[in-house]
Amino acid sequence: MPVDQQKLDHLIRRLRSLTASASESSKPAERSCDVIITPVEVNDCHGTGVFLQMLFGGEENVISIRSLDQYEGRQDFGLPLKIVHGADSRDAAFARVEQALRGVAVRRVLCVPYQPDDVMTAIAIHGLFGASMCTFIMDDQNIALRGIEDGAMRELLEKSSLRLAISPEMRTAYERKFGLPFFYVPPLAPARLLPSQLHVPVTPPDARHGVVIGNLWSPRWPELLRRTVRNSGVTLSYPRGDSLGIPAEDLRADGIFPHARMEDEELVRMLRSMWFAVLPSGTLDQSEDRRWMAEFSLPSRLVYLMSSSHIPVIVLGSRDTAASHFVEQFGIGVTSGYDRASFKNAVDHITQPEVNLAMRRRGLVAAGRFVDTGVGEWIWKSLERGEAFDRRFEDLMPDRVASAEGAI
Amino acid sequence: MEPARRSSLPEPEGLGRRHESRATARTAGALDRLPHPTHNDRLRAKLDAFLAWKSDYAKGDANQREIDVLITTNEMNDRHGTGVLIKRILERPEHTPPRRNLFCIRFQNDWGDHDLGDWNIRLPKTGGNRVECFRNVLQLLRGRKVRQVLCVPFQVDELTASIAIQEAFGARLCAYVMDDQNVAADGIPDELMREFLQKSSLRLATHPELRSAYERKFGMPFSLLPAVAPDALIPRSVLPPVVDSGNYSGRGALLGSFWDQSWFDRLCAALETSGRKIDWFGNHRSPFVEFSDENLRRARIRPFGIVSEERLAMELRVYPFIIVPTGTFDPAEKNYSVASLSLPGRIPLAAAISQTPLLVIGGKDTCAARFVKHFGIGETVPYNGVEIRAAMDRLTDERTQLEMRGNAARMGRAFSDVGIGEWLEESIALGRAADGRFEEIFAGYAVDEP
Repeated sequence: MPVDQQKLDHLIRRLRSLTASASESSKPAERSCDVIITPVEVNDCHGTGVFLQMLFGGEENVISIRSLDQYEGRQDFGLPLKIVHGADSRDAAFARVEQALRGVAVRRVLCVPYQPDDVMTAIAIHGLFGASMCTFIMDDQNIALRGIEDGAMRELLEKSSLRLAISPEMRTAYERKFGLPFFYVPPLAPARLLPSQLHVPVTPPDARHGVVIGNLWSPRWPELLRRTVRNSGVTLSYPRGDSLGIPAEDLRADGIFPHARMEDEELVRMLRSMWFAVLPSGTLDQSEDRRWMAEFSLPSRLVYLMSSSHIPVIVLGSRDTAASHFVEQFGIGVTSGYDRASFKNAVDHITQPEVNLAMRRRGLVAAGRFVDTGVGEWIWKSLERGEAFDRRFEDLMPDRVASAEGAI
Repeated sequence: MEPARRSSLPEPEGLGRRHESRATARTAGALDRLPHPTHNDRLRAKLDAFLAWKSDYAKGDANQREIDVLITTNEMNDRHGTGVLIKRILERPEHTPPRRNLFCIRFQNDWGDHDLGDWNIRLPKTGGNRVECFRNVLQLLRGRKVRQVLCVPFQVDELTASIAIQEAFGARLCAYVMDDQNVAADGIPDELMREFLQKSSLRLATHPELRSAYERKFGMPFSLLPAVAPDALIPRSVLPPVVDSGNYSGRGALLGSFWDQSWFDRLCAALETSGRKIDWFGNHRSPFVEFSDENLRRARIRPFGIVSEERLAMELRVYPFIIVPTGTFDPAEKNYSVASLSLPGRIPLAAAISQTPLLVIGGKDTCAARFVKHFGIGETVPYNGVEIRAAMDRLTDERTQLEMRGNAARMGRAFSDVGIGEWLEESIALGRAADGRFEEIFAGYAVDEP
């Protein structure tokens, strides 16, 4: 008769526990932990990872649960666990989570939902431990996209004592759809990188040379970017350590110059010396394939680099993207369509010394409101209260009227 | 199936039907005085649970079927009120399609046998350890499709297990509150009760006072599901009045069991001067209360023990009145929560199946007193021999008999158990009472708490 070793082990464990005396079977002390759930590894390779490390890095007793490996398991944050449910039933998911967290007492859960597995894990932990839960929507996976079904998303949100959204657009869209209150928490910048004085480039503006910031998530965006820059008389540095999957010579021929990847400090120094940055975003037209991201997500690099370098930004794409709304709300940049003429106008406008200086001044003022200091604790305190602990981020919500200056 | 095993607790006597309700409610103090379980008891209990987990129902084919779960404190059988009522609601009458697979979960063995559902198990108590309770539930039910959970909450484990099933299996949860353990008592913490009620798609209470107290405290709507009576035992017409004549001339009936010595002693002292002989239908051999011959003799009480409901119906019809002792709001009252928010299920049952007027002895603000007053089926007097005697005389008056039996006949039909299982199933699915049948019964009911 074949023996199922796993079942046999289980049986032996059960029998041991049944026959053990009270002293032998006394439970080990449980560790009190917070759980942070993300789709992939928490590291410096992506905005969510950077942001979460900024908020909770160095905190003890954090368990970091993910459902996917996108960076070969590379993570330097909390106690990493990978939990995958796939098509398993709900009770199987609960059992898996219970087993994975045995010996731990979960106090609080922060879920950044992206995959259905993330949602299931969060719901299971909340149910198993009665832990208070915060859901932080950083990327839309429900409204413009069907990555997470309505039922699961609703359950997650209803069970969360605190719901946060990374952008005003995300907050509004989710509140409207689910009829539940959300609070706005924007991407932040580390206090150590925030200058106390204004930085103005020493080179003359007529060089018409800028720098590309942010991720080009859509395969369309590099092509749109190249077409826009080509023969415009404007050149751009691209300091991401790759060439967008395009031969470097071709990029250079278009006026886009790939650089080796830079550490943040070095990148900030570079940005402080330049006149403008270019942030490619979505067109939000019928051909848009990243609407969920462009419309609702506020790129963390935009806030990070604006705060640390004050560099004015040209957002490429629609004026209805979250990035465009942001630069226009704070008066730190302009929006241009993906067409050469519009782009040239934008560069002309933004490199006018008085315009550029005014934008930098506004960036300096705004930067102080996007500092990371104490925000991790702010989130836990807000969770305790079930609402924003104070109005520091609520006051950043825009009136939803774009300034005339932003239109190019 | 879990192997039949006797509890380590003393076994109540009397194997007939219809026992006093909610054993645990009344015996908490007495249970504390019993010997603590030995190591062997604990081991045996663990093995019970272990064997049940590994039994036939865990096989694949059975796993595929959708089940309903019942969660109670102890065994469901005919020997206590909760068991009788739950069986009446969940068991399908003969010649009707059988109910879906019913899985009964309990947390203690008080009676030695369980008599409901396709499977049953006693899970170990966790004392409210949420994770442990989830683990036990997952180990037990994993792989099953759980459709509905009906929970009669009394101790923390029932609530936690219900929450676990609702959470982990996405089952619809129905809370059926029969005894208060939160508002006037402190058996269940507020936070747990609130979560349990919030997660319930349907919340039921047996009577309006209990409903009102919970609605007021937790701000959530409850529906009524009173203790219904077996339709076959409800007379189809008004029974003739019983005036002092025949074999039972002058005798009265006493219905119910006692879970506290002071309640029995108090009743005996009051009946001593009432001048009537009393036949008692209830558990007279309790491990918790001493029913001394001397006390019984002085109170002129003749114990019959627990009898079947069929016999009870026949017996009670020939008495001029039925005594139902209840609590008071005197400072000396030991069971304040029972007195204030409990309605003994035997009251509607006795009225429905016998139509005999009820003599409630106790406080005028108790649920029992309000019930008989609302339906005009009896009266309430304090524990005072003179007043009791006068009430007995009033109730044996022919006109009173006619009037109260007529009222009981009308009330009784409304408490019929016909279709009650389907009503509950539909109500849980809908998340509200399937119809207004029980709201109509209690229309205009005064629920002011004392």
